Amino acid sequence: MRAVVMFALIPVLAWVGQSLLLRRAGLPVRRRLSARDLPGVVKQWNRAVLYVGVAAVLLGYPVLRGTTPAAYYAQCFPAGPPVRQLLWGVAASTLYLVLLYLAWLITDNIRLEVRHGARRLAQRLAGVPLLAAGVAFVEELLFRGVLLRDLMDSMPAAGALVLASVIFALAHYVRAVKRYWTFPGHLALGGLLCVAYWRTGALWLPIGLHAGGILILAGIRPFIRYVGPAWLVGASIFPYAGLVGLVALGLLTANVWIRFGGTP
Amino acid sequence: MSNATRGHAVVVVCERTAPAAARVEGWLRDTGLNADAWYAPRDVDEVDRLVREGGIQAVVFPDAQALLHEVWAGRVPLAHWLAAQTQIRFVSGPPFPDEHWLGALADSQARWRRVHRRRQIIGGVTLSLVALAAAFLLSWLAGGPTRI
Repeated sequence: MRAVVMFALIPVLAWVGQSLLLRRAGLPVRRRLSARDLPGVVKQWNRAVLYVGVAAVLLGYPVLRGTTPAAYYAQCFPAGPPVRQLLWGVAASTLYLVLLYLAWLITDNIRLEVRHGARRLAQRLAGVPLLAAGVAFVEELLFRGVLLRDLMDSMPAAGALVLASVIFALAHYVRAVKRYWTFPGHLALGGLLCVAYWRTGALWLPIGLHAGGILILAGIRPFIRYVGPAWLVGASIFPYAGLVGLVALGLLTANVWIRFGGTP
Repeated sequence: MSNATRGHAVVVVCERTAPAAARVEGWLRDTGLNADAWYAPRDVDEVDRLVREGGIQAVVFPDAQALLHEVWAGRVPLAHWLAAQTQIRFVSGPPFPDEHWLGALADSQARWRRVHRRRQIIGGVTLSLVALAAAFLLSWLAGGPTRI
């Protein structure tokens, strides 16, 4: 349970950092972590503080377990055939999302609409692969490589999977956000990624699933507008938070469960 | 998008760099109206949100076509705007329609939206199920634990 305590310290560190930065900028301290209406420089430093917190957990947790980060994380990335799980994950997320977007396009639940000028669009699209790889890699190290692994050492697998999924979902709402109804979607997504780690004992598959999802969501987002009911198809970068998205995450979890061989 | 926040009385829906912008500015000067914020047409969703919150007294469009384009695109639900007692103003083009006529248009659009929403849901659910079944089967067939 050491990881849970370390995780809980990240928002505390981020809040203290935000409060100090706000005071220094002559602005009132906020009760919640929120980037809304903050000056650009405060936002950047807030982000930097958060990254320091994440890095401290990623590097500090293996040391607390009496090993080095390199040795600890090497166990999460077995060489050889499991590497192909990464590709399977990317392909599976892509397949689900592309087919759903097609279905929604045909039924006028989303519309094609370019949201930015050519230059901004090119900039955004150019950054998508790096964003997908970076976010998936760091979040999987953190939530599956540290948190889930730690929980599985101290409780039965089922409890660890549920608790890790809940913490993963909650972590997306520590900062004030625009939408809260997306919580079940994050919970189901956390469940999928936890099951992927549990069934393979490696981070290849969760990283592949996660990166494939971000790649499609962020890559398609500038070209579409949601016009269907949010409860059915979700909104923005959260198509997995609508009813269909939740079913999709359930089916993909079943795919992972069936295709991958259980705890190593 | 402009730096708009809540509580604006008058907003303009027009690209600042569009040829119509100068015409809109001239019209605002002539009528003595102060625009609190300008929104590009692609951000009309945000105007709709402010209207529904009751923060907008009037929305100015360069002409009737600019409004109707957003109406047909489904981004401006006229009935909600009229219910919020938001004035719609055109800078040029045909004169502003009679309120009864606009009300009839809003009713018609609201009816169409209801029918369309039913079709979206039925079609969306049906095709989503087909898509999910296809994705599930393909993922099931593509590579097994022994091969991966």
